[in-house]
Amino acid sequence: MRAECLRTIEEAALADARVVVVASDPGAGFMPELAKKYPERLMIEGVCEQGLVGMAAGMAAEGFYPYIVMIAAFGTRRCYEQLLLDFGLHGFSGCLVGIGGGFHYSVLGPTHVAVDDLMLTLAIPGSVVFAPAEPDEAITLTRCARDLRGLSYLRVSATTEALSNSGGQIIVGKGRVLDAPASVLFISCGSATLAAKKAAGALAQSGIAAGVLHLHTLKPLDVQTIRSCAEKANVVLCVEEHRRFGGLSGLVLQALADAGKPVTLPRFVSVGVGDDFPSGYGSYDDMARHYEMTGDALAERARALLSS
Amino acid sequence: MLGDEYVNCGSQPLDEKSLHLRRLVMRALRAADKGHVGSALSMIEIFRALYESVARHDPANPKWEGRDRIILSKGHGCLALYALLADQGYIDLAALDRFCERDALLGGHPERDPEHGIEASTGALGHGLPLAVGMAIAHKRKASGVRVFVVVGDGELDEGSNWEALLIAAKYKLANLTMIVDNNSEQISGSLDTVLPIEPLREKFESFGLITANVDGHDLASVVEALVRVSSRVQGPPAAVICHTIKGKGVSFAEQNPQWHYKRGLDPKTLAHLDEELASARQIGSPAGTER
Repeated sequence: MRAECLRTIEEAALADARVVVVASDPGAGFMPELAKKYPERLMIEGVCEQGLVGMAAGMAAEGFYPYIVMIAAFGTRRCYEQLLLDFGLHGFSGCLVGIGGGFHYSVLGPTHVAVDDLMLTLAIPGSVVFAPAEPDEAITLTRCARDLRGLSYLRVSATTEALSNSGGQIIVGKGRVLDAPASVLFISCGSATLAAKKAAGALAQSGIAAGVLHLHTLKPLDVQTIRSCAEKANVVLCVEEHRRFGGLSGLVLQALADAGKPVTLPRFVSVGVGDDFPSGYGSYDDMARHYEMTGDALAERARALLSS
Repeated sequence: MLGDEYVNCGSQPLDEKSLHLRRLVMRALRAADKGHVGSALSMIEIFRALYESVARHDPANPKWEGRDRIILSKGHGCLALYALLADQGYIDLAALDRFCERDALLGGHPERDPEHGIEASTGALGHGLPLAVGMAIAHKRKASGVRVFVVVGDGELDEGSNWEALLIAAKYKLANLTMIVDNNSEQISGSLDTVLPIEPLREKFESFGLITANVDGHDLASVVEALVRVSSRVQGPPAAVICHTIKGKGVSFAEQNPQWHYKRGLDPKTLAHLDEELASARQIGSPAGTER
């Protein structure tokens, strides 16, 4: 989805002089059409995350809309205070695009793997946090960000597959029910949804109906859909390429327990990364296997829960 | 490098207006019984230069799009900014009496409120300059004529984000950006030389491609002259005006005294001394140093 997201941003900047693309060091040949037609709208500032986020906020204060493109790990950690204060506290509008959120940079080790980007950006008051699963979502949410007030974070994952059914329209803050809730329900975000879909398919083949609720928007959270889906399930598996705390699982549990009218809590399992630095290297799939987040592993986990 | 030099920083007597503004600082300090007083008193003449002479602004129309942007990056020195904003009519004088109260307009650090002349929320250090760089880029692109002035502390320059921002500022040749350094040579734990040596600032700024000036930060005419000179340019690099100042300037027992960086719990005797020191124009304080 990276290419589609970046192309969408480039188109936005081509069409609107108030849109600027601010990037650290995105590689040669980045957004070539924009670089050729409107070079001043493409601001590549080098690896100075704090300086460039502060600068982007200053431009936002004066009416420009920055899409800030950085590797997810650095764009959320190195300049966190700039995101929190320069954008968040001031209420300035812009979109941080975190390239390679989740396991994408598995070969580069724990400095680059971003399994805390969602919790960091969720913690910024007033932020909007997106974790699309597929290119169409990335395109739509990238466009939508431009019309939102305040800071948006868009996690761009490595995956390129499309979801196999539509799950309805892509609307900011609305969950997509990809498979109808049943005794098993996967709730997922980002590219983990692709694995959840595969798990639901595998379970269906063995006669177990499983639902998939995909949340491309973690904030604002679609509490109503989470609650209505979970009420129909005996087992909920929350799946995220993220730490098991501070991200989707915590939000979902809070949605189920809060609002003064808690649902009867189903059996709940959180699938993700624990309190450790992701160890080893290898491919994206290797990392997914290590954390038992492949479709097969998730299906097996669901079967075990149902029979225990 | 501009050919300006300064001698005997802070040796000029403060005029009645500078004393009046310091009394406004003390009014807020007295009301809250706390505040970063030393850090504010070193900047009074810097803000006087900006608001009384150099910056284009209109207190009757605070959100005028064509106003020059003035950002206090070392937000803890906000009492100086508040004193000028009150004096200029951006805020009621009575707001000083509620400094740091629960629902007060004015808190211990500035919060963005263009209606009252405050452009940026600062307090965490190293944020004002990058913001100012972005604003200056925006106005250069708009060809609006708006200039951006950002006041930073010398201790604040420990923050690496400032140096990142200067790289960007030089790249975009932001003649409309002026960084003003409150160079009082002290931070809360002691002198900059002992905490984290940062001199020579001028050479550092020049190596980053900035045009620089060195002035006595309490000599209003010199500060005005330097600011007018660098901010009148429409092309060329950004500027740094290093204002050599005295922390706590105007109150003899507070000057260069780390105990007065942040002060709380003022007893009646100290308050009486403050009133006495700021009562009338006269020679106050001692020279902090001379040009290299």
